[in-house]
Amino acid sequence: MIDQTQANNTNSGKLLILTENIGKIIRGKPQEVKYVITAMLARGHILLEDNPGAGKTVLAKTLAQSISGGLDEAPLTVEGTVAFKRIQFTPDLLPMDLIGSHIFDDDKKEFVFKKGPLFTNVLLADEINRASPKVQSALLECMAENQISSGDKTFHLDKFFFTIATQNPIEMEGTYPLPAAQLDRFFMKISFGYVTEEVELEIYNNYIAIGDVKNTVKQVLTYNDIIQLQQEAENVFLHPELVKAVVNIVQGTRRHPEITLGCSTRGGIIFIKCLKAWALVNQRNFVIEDDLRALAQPVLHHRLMFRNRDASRLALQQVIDHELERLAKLRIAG
Amino acid sequence: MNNQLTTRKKIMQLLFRLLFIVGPTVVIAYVTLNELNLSYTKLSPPVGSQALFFGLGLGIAYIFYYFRARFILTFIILFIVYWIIDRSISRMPGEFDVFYIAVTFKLYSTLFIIGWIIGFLLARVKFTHIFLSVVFIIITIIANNQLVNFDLSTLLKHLFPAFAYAMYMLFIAPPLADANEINLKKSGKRLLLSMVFLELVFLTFALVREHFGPKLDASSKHLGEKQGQWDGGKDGDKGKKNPYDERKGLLERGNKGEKDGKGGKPDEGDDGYKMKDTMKMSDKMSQADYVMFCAKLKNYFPNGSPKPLYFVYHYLTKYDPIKESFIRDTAMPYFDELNCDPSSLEMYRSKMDSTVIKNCRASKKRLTVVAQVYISSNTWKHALLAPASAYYVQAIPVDSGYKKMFRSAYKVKSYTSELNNAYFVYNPSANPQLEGYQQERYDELRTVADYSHTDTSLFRYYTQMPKGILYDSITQLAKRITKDAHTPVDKVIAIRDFFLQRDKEGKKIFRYTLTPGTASDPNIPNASMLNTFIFKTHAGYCTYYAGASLFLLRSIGIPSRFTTGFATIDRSDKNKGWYWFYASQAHAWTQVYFPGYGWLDFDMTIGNDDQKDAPRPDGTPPLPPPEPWLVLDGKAESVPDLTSKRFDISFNKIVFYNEDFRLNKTFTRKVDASVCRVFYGEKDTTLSCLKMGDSLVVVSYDDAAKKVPLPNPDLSMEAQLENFPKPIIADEIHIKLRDEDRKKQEEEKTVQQKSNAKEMTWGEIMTRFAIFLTGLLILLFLFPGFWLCWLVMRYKFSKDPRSKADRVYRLALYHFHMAGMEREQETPLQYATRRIDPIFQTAFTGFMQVFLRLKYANGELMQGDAELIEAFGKSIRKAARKKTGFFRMIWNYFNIFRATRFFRRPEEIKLEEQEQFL
Repeated sequence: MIDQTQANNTNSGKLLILTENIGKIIRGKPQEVKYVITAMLARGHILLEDNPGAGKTVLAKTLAQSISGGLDEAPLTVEGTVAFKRIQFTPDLLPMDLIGSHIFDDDKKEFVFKKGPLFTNVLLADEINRASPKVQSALLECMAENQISSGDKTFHLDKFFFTIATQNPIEMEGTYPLPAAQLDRFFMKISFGYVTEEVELEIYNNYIAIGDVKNTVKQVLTYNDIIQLQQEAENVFLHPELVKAVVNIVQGTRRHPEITLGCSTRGGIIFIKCLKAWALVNQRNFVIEDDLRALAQPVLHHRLMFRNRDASRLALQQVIDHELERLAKLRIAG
Repeated sequence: MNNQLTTRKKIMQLLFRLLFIVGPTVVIAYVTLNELNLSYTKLSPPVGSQALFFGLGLGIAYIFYYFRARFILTFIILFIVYWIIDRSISRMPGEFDVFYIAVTFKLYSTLFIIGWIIGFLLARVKFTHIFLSVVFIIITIIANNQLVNFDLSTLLKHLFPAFAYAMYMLFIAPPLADANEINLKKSGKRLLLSMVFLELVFLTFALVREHFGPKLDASSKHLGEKQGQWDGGKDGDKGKKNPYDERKGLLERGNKGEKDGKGGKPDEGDDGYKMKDTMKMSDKMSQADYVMFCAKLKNYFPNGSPKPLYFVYHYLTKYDPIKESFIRDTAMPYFDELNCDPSSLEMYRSKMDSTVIKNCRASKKRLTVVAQVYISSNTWKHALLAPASAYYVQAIPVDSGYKKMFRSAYKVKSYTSELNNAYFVYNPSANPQLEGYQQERYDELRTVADYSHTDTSLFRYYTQMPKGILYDSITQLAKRITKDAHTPVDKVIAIRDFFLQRDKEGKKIFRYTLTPGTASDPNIPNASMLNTFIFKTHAGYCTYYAGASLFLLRSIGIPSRFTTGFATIDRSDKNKGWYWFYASQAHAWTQVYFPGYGWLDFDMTIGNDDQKDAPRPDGTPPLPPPEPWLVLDGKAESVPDLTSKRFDISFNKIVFYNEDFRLNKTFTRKVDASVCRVFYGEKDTTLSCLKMGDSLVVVSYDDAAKKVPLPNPDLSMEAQLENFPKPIIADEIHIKLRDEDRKKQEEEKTVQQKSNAKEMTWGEIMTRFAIFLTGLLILLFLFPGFWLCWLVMRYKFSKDPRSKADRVYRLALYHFHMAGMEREQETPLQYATRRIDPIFQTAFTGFMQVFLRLKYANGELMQGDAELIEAFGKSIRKAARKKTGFFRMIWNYFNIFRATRFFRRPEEIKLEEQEQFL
């Protein structure tokens, strides 16, 4: 159900409404909301990491609802609607619980594949680090290739497949840390952190309204809108100097003495994709240097390995600052 | 893995360091050692080998300690080796000069060990290069302290290497020497930057010198103590326009110095500074006051009290009645002026003038007076000043301690009469003893009744008078004055009394003044000064008195002549026989001829009652040099042997007990130079400077050797030569300048004259340096302001909106930064949204959006962009002022550190070499 009164017909207008909508529920975190939308438009996946109760799941659900129209886990059958599935990861979860399994069909006298919850558009993988590595790696293929292999068959997922994974910090008990390869698949990893005093007060005052997500959130985007927006994000203009800046940052991470494992080339590509999507989310059709600063930490940080964990954020920031300083001094070409 | 370098790399680095750190250090050590050797003559071996040993120690130690050798252990080993060699040298058998070798070894080993320690420091200790630079500069300064004549250019020349080394070590060497990251591009850039910096410093320096140099000189000299002036000739020409303004005073430059208010030292060798050969009576004479020379005069009364004599410069025997000036005439009969430039004489060489001896008219009571004259550095160089009838002059050295004060010195011998002295008018406060002597003198001279037996040519020449009414009236006056006197000396006394007479009220009729004024009758422009003086004003200075008395004497037939020179004033009993001559003592008087006694000084100038000069102190007399018994003038035939310090000299000119001899053939003798002092040109040097074939003068003093032969008039000089001790012990060796050095010196001199590079005192150097530094500092503090102006200009003059946007952006960043709102680690847009007041913020963000669009979106200009940029550019300065306040902003603009923060690049991330990880 599209709210005709509010919706501006342009896609960027719809995006604005989307962020506003979510912002009504996820208070005081406009930046994080934008990150999630950016990851979606960049055709990627996002990992939200924080302590329990910070609003990770709420955010994921709100987003899903805003684009699918309901909290129901709609099946991926109807063309043009967004299907949303949510899986709670537990240590005893098995890969086939995700992918689905072959079941013997009495009528046809053969094994038919019963699709699992992975066959959807938006997947909320709650507490992903609680599941065993086996399950985590099952998720890996579909996140990377958009396909699922089971037995001798390969099933293609819908071209809009967006995973929002949440995890508790790995220090907590009963968790399996995500392998580096899988972490690399996530376009962004963001942590929420606690809100400010005023925002918290506001949340407590409106907790009834916020809690009633189902009634408050309205569908803003349709399936087609999202496909269109993803296309649009690809076409955002990226200045050659900024491409060079991305190269410098990526190379800088590989050479920095505090960083033992630098950013991969795939990481660089993802960074560029995210930059474009981020510009679109910010109502622009070109990328600016501020985007680099905003995105560098969430996109790059989880791909790197640091010599010293305490100084990790600083090391990456140093590389970025250095490059941004160069950009700030650039002149207008021509 | 990261900390350890591979061996190959290590060696590479060592090579680089040897090349870029050790090498230059050895070079600067060589230069410094050279300086030291020039100033201190103790280090005898050649500088090259000294530097070699130093460099060896440095290099070996550097390599040792680069490879982490233990310092204490290696140093102990080194010391043991040193000790063993030292011991073995002292036990060495044979005919080696053990002492010499031991001394040489000690010198070399000391240098080696110093080099060793510096090598250790360089290899191991941080900041040694800074320490070293400072040490080298200090050593250079100390070494140059010994230099006698300072001026800026020599100072720069000497100090430059040390400063250049410091610059190099501080700025260029560290990146060059680091083989770890040989980044040629970066080092090259640094090198270029340092070069540009040096260039700028020198350029500024040169500019300051060029523009302010002469003015500075003038002003400082003006304030300062010395008087005189630069360019006499030019001013003289100027002065000639008005005959009454023409100052042909005795001390012309003193005059001009005061008149023009200009300062500066007299320039030697410039004819404009010579005493004039003519003397003119003029309306005014001013006197300057500085020591011209000082002299020791061996002339005493029989009771031992000093008997000063006037020092003669020239006799002016001709008179030009139209110009009323006295002129020097070299054709005067019985010419008795010693015509010699003492500065042209070589050391200890003498000149005797036989014409003077022949023409000397004194036969009765003749006395040979010896005087040593020290010419001050303020005085002209070529003058010969001596008591009357000097016939002998010998150049003598000035003791090195007095070289700053006295330029040159000479010894003169004069024939004079015992009756001659300075006391005629000048008479120190009625000394009864002196009166007695005077009376005796007059009595003696009274024996001369007339000039009937005098040579007619002399008599005629010295009693010449110009024709004219004035001179007739002078004759009448003279006859009236001397009508009661019968002998010439009584007539002279009568004329003196005429000048000393008083009127009825007891007031002196004649008085002394330096400013007699123009001729009293202004209606007659060419009124005679002489006439005015004698008959009207009765006021004048020495030239007037001398001139008037000359004509008074001549008119009554007493041969007399006009003499210029210096009055000798016996001021103190402190240094008996020493006299000091200040510029104000320049004088003119008359000499009167008495047959048999020759020319006697008679000074008619009466004392100056109006103005009593404050007594000027006498200085400390210079140390007179010892009397040499032998001076050899010849050529070095061999190089001095280092151990025995003997060499051969061939000569055919000698001075033996102050007498010059030219030998009939060239002799060769051995000279022992073990205890002597050596001079090259005017500088102290060492014996090692002597090369074969050099012309030199060897001097031996009386007390140097006991067995000195006395002159024997019976033998010829060649025969006497055989009695000389062998070898001849030299006390002083003066090596004459070699041709190339002479040329160089002359060139330097001309260059110096051209650039007006006068000798500078430390004070002046410091003043200039301070001015330069202040200028630089002011420029530095104004720099942030200048930069803002530059940015504003750039923005104002840009046409294209794109570049305009760019420049506005830059201006905004700089201005906000300087006004106190620094951009931290944030993007310009973040900065824009966070900072400044709300109204301005929207403008800033709006501008930033346009700017970023232009910058990153390949964006074309949209409508309204140009206006937006323009509007923002205008409001920048207002906004910043509103936010920080005007004065605060101004204050910030003087903060150079804030400005440097703006220009500082982001901190370089130390990039490691990439390692293969997996």
